[in-house]
Amino acid sequence: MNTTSVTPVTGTLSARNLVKRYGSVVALGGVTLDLQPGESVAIMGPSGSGKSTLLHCLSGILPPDEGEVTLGHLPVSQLSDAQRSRLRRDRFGFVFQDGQLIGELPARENVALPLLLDNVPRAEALRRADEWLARLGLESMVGRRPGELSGGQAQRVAIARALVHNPAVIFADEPTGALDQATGHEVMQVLTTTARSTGSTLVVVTHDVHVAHWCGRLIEIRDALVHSDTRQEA
Amino acid sequence: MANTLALSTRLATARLRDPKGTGALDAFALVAYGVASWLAFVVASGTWMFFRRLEFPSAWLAAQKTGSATMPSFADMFGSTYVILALVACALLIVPILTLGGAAARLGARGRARRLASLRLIGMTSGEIVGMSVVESLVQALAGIVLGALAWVATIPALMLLSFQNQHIGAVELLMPWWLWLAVVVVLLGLAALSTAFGLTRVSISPLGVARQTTAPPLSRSRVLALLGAVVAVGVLSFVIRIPVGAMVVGAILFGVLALGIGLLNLFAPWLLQTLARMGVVTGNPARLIAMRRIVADPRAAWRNVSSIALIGIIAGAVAVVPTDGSQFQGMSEVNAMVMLDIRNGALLTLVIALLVGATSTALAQASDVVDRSDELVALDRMGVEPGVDAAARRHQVLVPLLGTLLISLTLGVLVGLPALTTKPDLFMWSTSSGIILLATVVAAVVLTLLAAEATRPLRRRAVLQQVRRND
Repeated sequence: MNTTSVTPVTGTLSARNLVKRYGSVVALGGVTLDLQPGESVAIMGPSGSGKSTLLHCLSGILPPDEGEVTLGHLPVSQLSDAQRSRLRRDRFGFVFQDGQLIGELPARENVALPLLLDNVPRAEALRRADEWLARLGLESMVGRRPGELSGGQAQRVAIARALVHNPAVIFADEPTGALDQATGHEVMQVLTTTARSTGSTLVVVTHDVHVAHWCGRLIEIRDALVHSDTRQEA
Repeated sequence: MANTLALSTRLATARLRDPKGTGALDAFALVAYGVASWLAFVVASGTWMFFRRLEFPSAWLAAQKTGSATMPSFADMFGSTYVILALVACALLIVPILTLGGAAARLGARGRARRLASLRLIGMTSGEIVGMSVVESLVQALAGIVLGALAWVATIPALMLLSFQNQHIGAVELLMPWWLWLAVVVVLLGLAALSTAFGLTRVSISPLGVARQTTAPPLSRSRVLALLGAVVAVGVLSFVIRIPVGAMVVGAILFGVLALGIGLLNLFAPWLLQTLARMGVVTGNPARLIAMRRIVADPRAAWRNVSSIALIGIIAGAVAVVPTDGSQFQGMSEVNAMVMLDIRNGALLTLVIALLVGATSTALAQASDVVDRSDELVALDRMGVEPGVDAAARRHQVLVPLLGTLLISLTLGVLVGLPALTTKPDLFMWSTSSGIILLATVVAAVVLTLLAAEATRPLRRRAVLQQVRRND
């Protein structure tokens, strides 16, 4: 299938001395790390530790107050807001806690949306969306809208949407947070397997140790700093 | 009850501080209630003025003093016609004004229902929730009515510039009796309470959250058959009333046909919008795709957004057959020329009011939608989708229904005007100014609707750019 062909969008995602403050609260106090292409990384930490803020800075959603983020040679944190939006659209994929699919669009159009935004012809975009949905076991659900899908199915559609344009990095923010344990495991299996098959780097923010075990590397954030960084067998 | 009221106050204060913009919705609701009340007072006082002139014709006939022999019989001939035409305008405007009030009560309903679910979780009963929401709406509506009344007072000098029956409107003529004031206020408050209670019952609020929204079934094609049947009926009616009839009968027929037209439009237009949008989803343009899918998913909501504009189309279509150029009055008797001039002024005033209601309704619906979809907007922004895509989707979302609606309503409006054209060819006529009125109406409606949709842009920016620290 075409969905498995990987666009050469590799490069190390690096953070150097990232600092981010919300008023007087320091969410990141000088975080440095490197994420290699194809790696799966879980970012864990207690509530308020700064893990979601780290994901937002790495993905260009938020500019850091100090420090820099780079993807390969691309200085992500120095790009303008519009350039960062373009980067997120073209090179990154996102999976949110509750899917955040567009309620009125059927599954296939939700998945095709990133391609349509990149001016891929409709027929081609829908074909690739259908392929991804079939690959994730949702071939009979292509015409259903998010409200007609279970939580696990909706999250798989969100995964297909994140992967359909072969992103360099997939950012997943508590992807199983709204799911039961069995469905959460199923979603993590799909997410890690498909990310590995496409060669995308996977960054998962979670507070669930069972979810973190699906990733090959575990970074623990505490008090706005990297507390530990360990390799593990996924 | 005291606790419920105290909680309402605290929640209202919290909403004003909410970065998602739910507080802005309260301001929008206040403005909407204010506009609805203002226009309701203008329409009611205007209608009252014609009643007064019918009841006390000597007061205004004394002002005529033209020496014309035709004038003394004017009250008998046309006094009741003016009241009927005023009531027709009143009936035309009352529905969109009430719809506007209802829309204010439903503002941010989805988001509000989600918040209220958490109150159910901590033990509040369904009745207490509805009661609390109704009280909130009544407070907003009351504040809006006060604003509307002040706006009405401020408008009186402008209304006094208008002239009907060869006489400028007097401030005293616009002063309504206490019972009419009370009636308008009671209707507005009752509408706010009913719309809130009805809106909440449509969204099941359980302690575990809002019931999942399901796909609405497609609208039935039988709506088309109803429209076709009515068009045939109107055609037959146009033929039948070629026999000479009095002004009262013409007015009554106009009223009936207008009511029928509006009813049919409400039945047919959502189906047409859904059908047009279904064709529109086959597109590679993401903004258009999102807009068309939103219309397909809820064609009634799309219709509600533009239904006030449809009214404008009907009025403009009907007015198009009324002479608007002063030179066209030449050759008419003095009385007929005056009646035509008054009909033109009254119709144009109705058009302006309807345009204002339409634009406010659109702004309100869009603002509510932006706040309800704030999570979706944030998600799209994080995915790298430019704000322009949502803005374009909203433009498509209002423009496609608007243009479709104008097409139908202008046609219906001209059909409505046909009986008058055929029964009184000496009074009603089609001219180049008719085309100009139709074109100007379309342009004004499109521009105002687009401006209303764009007015929500700051709300979108605020929703997307909210820099709150998540509990990470």
